[in-house]
Amino acid sequence: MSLRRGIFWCASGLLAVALGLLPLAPASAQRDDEPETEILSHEEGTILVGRDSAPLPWARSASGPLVALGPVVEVLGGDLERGPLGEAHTVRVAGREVVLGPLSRTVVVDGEVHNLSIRPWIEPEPEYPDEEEEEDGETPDSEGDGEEEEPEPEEEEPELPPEPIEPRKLFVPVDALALAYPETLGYRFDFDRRRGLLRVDRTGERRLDVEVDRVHDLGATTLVVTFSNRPRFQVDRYRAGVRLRLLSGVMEPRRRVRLNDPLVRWIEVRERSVDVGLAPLAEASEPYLLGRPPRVQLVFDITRRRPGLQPRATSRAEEERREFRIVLDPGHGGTDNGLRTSSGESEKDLALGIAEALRSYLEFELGARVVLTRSGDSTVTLENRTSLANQYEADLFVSLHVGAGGAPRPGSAFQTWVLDPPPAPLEEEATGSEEAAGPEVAEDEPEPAPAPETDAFEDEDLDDLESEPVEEEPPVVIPPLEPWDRVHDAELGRSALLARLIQTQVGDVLGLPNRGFQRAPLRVLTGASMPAVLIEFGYEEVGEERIPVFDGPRGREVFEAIGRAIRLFRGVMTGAAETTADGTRS
Amino acid sequence: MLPVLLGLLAACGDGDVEGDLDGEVELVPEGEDFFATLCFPAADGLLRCEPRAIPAAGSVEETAAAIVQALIDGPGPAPVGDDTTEPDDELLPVLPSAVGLQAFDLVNGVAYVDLTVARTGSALRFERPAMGLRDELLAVYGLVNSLTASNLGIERVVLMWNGEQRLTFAGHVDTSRPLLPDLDRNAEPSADF
Repeated sequence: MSLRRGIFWCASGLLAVALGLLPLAPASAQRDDEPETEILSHEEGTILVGRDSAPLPWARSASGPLVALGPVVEVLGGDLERGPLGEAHTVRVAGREVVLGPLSRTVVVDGEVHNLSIRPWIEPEPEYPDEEEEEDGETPDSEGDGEEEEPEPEEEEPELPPEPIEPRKLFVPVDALALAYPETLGYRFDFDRRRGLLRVDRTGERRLDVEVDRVHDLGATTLVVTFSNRPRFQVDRYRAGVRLRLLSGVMEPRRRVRLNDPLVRWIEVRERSVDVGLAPLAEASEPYLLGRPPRVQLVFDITRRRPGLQPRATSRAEEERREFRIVLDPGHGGTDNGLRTSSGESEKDLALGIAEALRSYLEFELGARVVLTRSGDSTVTLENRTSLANQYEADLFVSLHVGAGGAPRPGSAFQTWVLDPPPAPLEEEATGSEEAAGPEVAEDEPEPAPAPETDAFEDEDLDDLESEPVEEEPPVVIPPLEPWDRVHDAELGRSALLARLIQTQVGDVLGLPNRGFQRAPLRVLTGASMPAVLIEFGYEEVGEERIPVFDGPRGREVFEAIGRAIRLFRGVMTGAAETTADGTRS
Repeated sequence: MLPVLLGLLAACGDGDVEGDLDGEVELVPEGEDFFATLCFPAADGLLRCEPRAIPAAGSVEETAAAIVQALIDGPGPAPVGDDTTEPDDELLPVLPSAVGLQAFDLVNGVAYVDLTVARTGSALRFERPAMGLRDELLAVYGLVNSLTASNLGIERVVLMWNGEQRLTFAGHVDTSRPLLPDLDRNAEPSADF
């Protein structure tokens, strides 16, 4: 370890000289006197930025709390570079450079030295067998067992390829974060050690007015994002789109625009990011800046990927890497309003809003390709919803509904449902199937349809039936189950697992007493050839108020929980994770 | 307690209504009470099934239709024979009050229940009540479990709206086929019941 410390400080010294930094002596002196930070316990906390939150590991030390630096940079933006030994960390945010490490309370910020309240702490290195020691250890054995010229069979085993090593987490005090993300950039940190909550206040930041323009010509789309002030940003790329993440300031006006463009599906201006949803096979170029500050334009050129560059997946490994496809089904729509909630909103509108928000989350955070069964207020038959999912070869089908929001009842806040299939046909049903002329079942489209020429249930006919002898009644034939009715049977087990994971994960967030899923003969799930569930969102009681669990910060938490459940489910399905029945990962 | 047990026995078919092997049902004389089993939704998301007295009609169809109407009307006074308990305030009507029974038929053990919604000025011809999934599920099995438990020779139930069988009852629950009872939707009967 002393050798590594020497190398680290040598590297730090060179960096300091390169930066024209002179006063290193205090840091060096401090390093020698500073005892290593004693960690009392490791905790799981949360970082909260506006409405967004993310998990944040933190540690209790004798001197105070330390939070993991990596997740903070991931949430707030910036680059985190680890030194060759994994100890020195450099954070670059909006042109600032902050160098810190676990050996000293000293931090270098743009060539200026600062002292932290607590010395950072880094996870210890995992213990790997020392090759030199092993070799040294073998020599005396081989000499002592001179008769055995052949090495042990175990020693002949081929070396396994090195497993990818998770970078060691560096835990820093909150004042280190304040140096990397200073108030001048609009950041304020407050750590609640009782709740393990790191609250990042970004109020009072400068406001950026944003305009988005689009031009599609010659097979390419040019997207121009115009800012009223020069933004500090970074660009994150996802399979489903591009996120322009603002490192300081907030954007106005926030809005989501659905585009009629072959390459760009939608653009959403959020508080701190501009998300661009790309059509399948579309890709965005590196953005470039135009204009003269303060009013600048950021330009993306979006083109279609050449299909030849995307070989079709053939092997299992390639299949596992195939994009994860999810079909979200906003319930009802068009002339089918669904129910009207206690607040007067139509279920069809709420379900569409949920689907759009959940799609954004799943695409950007899960890297999934998400398709909606309807993107507007249109009528879609139940069969067409699952047909779309089947045709799309989706991995999951999730139908989204909203409860009435009346009096609280079990499951009224959030309930996941799976299909309870019709019972197996009886023998007489099967035999009578060919001549079955059962009542024609009307399509479930709310569109008006001409009434059949039937008067079987008029009062006079009831009287007729009464007077007829039983023997003369027409034979009743139960219509046989169609193949469509049995399509989902093979997926029932997987659907139940997905439902259990979702209900458990969301139940943890909402504190639901009931963590079980429910079964019902749900027509919309019939015919899905993939795991399929129906989620009914509702309302939770907060004091005397009824708060929707699909909106605002609560909704974000619920969507995150659904995303975690889907991630776990996918892991189980690909064998990459072991998940217990209650949804925890072992 | 005794009246409760008598009521239960009556509802179980040992009393006034008897069915033979051919599925024919002998009704109580018209004007006397027929003891039906009515299953109403409760606040816990399950059905509570209780014996209730219904004036017997002249035919099985009319009696079954009276059961459907009683379910639509909602839970009434305390269960038959139980004069000691107050009506259960947590029980709810099976269907919204705007729903009415348009027609009823019974053919070879299959009951055809044709419901309709009081017109509210909408131009839609096949209007159905808007219901959440849970309420819809309880409505469907409130009807099916009640009709099949009342010993009228009903084995399956076809639910219809305005003379048409629909794929779903109110947008969610599959009613494209004649439905069998689902006793898992019923709450466990109380000790007194």
